Amino acid sequence: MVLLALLLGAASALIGPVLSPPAAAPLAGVVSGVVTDAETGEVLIGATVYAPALGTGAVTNAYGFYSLPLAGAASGADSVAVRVSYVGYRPRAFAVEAGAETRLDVALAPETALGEVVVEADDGVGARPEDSPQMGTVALTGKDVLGLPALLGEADVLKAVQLLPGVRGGAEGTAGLYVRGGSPDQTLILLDGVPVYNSSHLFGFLSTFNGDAVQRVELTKGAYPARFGGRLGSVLDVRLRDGNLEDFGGRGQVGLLSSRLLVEGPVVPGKASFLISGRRTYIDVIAGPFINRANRDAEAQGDERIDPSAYFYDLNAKVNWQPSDRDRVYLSLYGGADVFGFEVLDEREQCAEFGCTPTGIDDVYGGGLEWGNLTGALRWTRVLSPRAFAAVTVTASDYRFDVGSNVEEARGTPDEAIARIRYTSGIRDLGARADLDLSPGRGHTVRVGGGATLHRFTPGALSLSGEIARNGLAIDTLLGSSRTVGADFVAYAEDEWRVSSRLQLGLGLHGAVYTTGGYTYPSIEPRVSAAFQLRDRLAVKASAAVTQQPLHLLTSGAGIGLPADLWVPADSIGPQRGTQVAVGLAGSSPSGRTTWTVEGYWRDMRGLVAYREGAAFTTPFDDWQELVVTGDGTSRGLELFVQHRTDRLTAWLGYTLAKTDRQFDALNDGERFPFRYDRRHDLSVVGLYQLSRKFDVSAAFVYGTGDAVTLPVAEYTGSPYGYGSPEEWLRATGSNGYSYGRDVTVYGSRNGYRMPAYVRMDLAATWFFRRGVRPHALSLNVYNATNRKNPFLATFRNDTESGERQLTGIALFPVLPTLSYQFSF
Amino acid sequence: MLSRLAVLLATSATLAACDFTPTLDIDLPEHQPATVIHAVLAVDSAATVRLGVSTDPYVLDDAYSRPGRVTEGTVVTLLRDGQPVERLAVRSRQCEEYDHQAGQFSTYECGAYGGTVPVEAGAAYTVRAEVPGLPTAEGTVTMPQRPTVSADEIAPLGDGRRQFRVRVQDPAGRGDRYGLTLLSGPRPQTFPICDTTVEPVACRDTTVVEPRRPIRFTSADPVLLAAKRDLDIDDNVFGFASVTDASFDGQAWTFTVGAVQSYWEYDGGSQPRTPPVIVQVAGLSGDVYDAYQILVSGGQDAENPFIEPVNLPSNVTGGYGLVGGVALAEVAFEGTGATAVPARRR
Repeated sequence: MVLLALLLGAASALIGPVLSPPAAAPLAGVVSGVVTDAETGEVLIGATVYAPALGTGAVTNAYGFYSLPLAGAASGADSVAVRVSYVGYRPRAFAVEAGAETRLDVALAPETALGEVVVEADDGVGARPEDSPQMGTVALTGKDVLGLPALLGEADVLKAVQLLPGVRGGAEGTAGLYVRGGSPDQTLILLDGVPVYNSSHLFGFLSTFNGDAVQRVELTKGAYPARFGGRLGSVLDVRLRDGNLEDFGGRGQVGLLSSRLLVEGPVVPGKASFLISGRRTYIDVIAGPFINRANRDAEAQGDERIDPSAYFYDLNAKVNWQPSDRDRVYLSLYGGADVFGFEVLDEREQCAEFGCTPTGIDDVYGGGLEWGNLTGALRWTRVLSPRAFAAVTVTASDYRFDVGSNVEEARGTPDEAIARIRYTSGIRDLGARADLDLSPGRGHTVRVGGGATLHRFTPGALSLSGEIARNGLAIDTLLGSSRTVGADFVAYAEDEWRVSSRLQLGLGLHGAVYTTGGYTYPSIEPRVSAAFQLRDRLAVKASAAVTQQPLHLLTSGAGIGLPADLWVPADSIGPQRGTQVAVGLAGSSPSGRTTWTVEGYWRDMRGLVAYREGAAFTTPFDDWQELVVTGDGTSRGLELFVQHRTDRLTAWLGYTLAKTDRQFDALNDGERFPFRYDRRHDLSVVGLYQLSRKFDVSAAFVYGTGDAVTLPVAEYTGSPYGYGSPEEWLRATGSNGYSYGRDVTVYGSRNGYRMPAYVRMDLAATWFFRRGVRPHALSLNVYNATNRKNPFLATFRNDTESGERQLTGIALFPVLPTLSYQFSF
Repeated sequence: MLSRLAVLLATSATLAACDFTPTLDIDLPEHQPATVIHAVLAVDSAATVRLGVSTDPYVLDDAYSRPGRVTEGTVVTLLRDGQPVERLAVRSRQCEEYDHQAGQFSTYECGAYGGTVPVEAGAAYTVRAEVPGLPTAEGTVTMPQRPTVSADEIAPLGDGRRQFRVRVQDPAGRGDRYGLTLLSGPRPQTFPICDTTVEPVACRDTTVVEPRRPIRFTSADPVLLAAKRDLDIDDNVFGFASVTDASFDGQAWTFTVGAVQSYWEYDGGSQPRTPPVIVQVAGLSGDVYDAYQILVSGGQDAENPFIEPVNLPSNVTGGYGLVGGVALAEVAFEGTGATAVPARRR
């Protein structure tokens, strides 16, 4: 806390003159403003404002604001040249008064109208990797995501991020993020600043982010800035578009799996805009008539009627209002859910010696699962002064997961008996925070802020209820873990300090107090990063971070991102704690078109949780604390990232050499074992090329070491348990053993074996055309173009000729070509 | 630029075309056979133990795969608190199994090992198996206490199902585990045996008593509802519920169950008669409870991507298997109908 106080004190010493500069000691000139898209009026995040003569620059923040002090302008110079640029947009140059405070709002025009596919990089300070002390940060635009090849034609933010070094997905085709050996919960996923606890649709095969609505995605893998906290490893900051301030319009896609539609436009031209985008699958709608027909036939034959349901949807809405040129108000909402279930209606029959007859009494049983997120953020931003920018945000989020089954015997009769089992888990947050961005000059860019979040956990409540109409009996019982309330309070200060022309430091301190269930966990988390220019366009960088995570994600089985993974608070179990250190080199070509980084990292993870052997979320009677064991993990690796960008080509290569393992006293006999998604080698090669104004192509190639798996080492027959009742068990052990008992498999070391390597090649081509004045596009995506059979899981196949049982893999996705149609209006 | 793109695509295509690992070629350890002990010791009953030998999971017809195979010279000993109680005697016979490689059936000696000394509740028993050529294996279990159970028959459900209110008194703080089964029977069946070699054909009634067997049951009790599984063994579907005392520790667990019983005979074509019903509550040793939970939850299923494969709990050192303990308590209710069959009470 002393360190935090010192840092905050230092910050306040800088802040004071920024908010009200003393007349006796005027600061140097400053240019500040907002950078926007000239066509839509939307702010541009990460645009570069660069003063070549001063060798300094600034990057727009998440709200498009920048502030560039003009200290160091040549004595007697009246003006300073400033260049504003953003990838995919025509740069603009201005001359601003050297000693004045200048408000310069800049609207940049896109270079091309349609089909532009570019990756974030630019020619100013802050855009080249060697110019920032921050390590492990990569940004993608919404256009990047839409341009990449996609599974079933569904452009996916998280799958695009999986193509970056140090990041890998979970099982084949799933959208989980495993960053530098961490599990998915260790990545803080923010949607417009609001945590998203479950980012998957369709059992993990698609993410919840609708590519049409996304403006920018930024992943920070290592020592993430002090303004973020609460997660052990990394931050994925997803920002939605604000909506077109100038024109009403929309776009959409008709795909194989789902369709999506985005509508946006001005509410008050130039002052307020809205954006609404939605997506839904329609397999259930298409299949509905066929299912009804099959049910009619089944009922006619006396068979049971089965009504399945399976769909997901998501909806994004955003309102952006500018009451003045200094103020903006944003309201951002997201809602999405997956629903899978079935209901079976079975008519009872009365059977006698000579056959059965229907009774008209129905038994109904069914089950299903449903999960979804609701998030909302109301944010007010204000330009306090040319050197100060403030944002105040109120957020709310609600993640829930329900699985249940119900039995209704003799529905609607006096003998009706109803029994329901419902398992509910979720987390609900309500938070507020304030952030202040300052440019006090003297090479400092300072951010301070703080906030509080109230959490309400439902770690895993099993609700059992029963009713018997005839006896008037009604039971309603709650078992397992009930609701828990927690809160966290955070304060941070960070300073990006250009110490000299060759040395930059990033200093930050994140202080947090987390409390729940009578337990309080304070933490002081320093974040330090540095970049030293060895020579022009080459820097050596280093970073270190201490982090604490007061939440755990209990992962079921193979950890493929199931919604059944449960979020639980760090009460008696304690939080996860981690340390991460990284060193590396960063550089770029003279043209700035090629950038590269090499980073080595080491991570230490303590207080990790896992289900004890044999336990799962369905183990109903115990509190979750009794189902888990705690342990540690380490991860170390080397990452190479090379990115090349021209007007028409964007390509990158990412390679990671890594090793990740875990150690739990109560698992694997206490021996250290590989993390399931430990991947020694991971290579991604991605290319997006604009052949012409009407034709784009893209390709992505992925190679990775196979997953670590647990395999059998022995078998035996005749275990009496699980075979019948205790009487049967006794009979089985007393028999000659000829026909009783279950076959039992003995598994070897946990994750002690390797699946074959993962190899995948995806291709995409898009043809752009116009119908009237509106652009349309037709896209062909080919997932797994080489039809590689990447095993999703291992199974046995008996070869009676050789007398061997062969271990074979089951591949989920063969070559999958998909055609999709995009339109706009 | 096109040339660069072509190089990029060609390189990627070449890499993708290379099939790095066309099959699941995984280095696996060589299997070392070990003794498997199957033992369920029951309170107040003599011990019975069956032995086996583990097999190589990657070989189809392992020589050791014969269930219940008896190896000459094997010694099985029962110990109580580390002191020998008795040597269990083999009760063997000839078993038959199809030999895939030979293409024919072959016979071998199979059987179980049994003792004479009743096992007592609360004591720790060890089963030690010494099989020639294999490491000595042994496992120890602390026997559970017999549950205190009472039950009453209450008014039947509308469809005629018999209902019972059951009360299990649970001692506090022991972490007891219970298993509930309903059994039906014994069921005497009478049928005529006729001699067709004489005129007129002579028939006489013969009665055969089918042993009792587990049956299905229903309940609206939430604890029971969550714990109950319907199992299908040899086309006999029955219910079994295993619970811990977490939700009723130190108290009485009272619930109502309905017996799903088959009518076995009609009295004059109108009144069905049913065999007796037995409500059986078993005290289970911890490993037995855990093993059952893993088996019924599919935790042993290596092909289920949603569950990390789990080894069954084993208290056997030097081999595999489990030495478990049960203590059975029963309340029996007589059969219904004009010729109701009396129940045997334990």
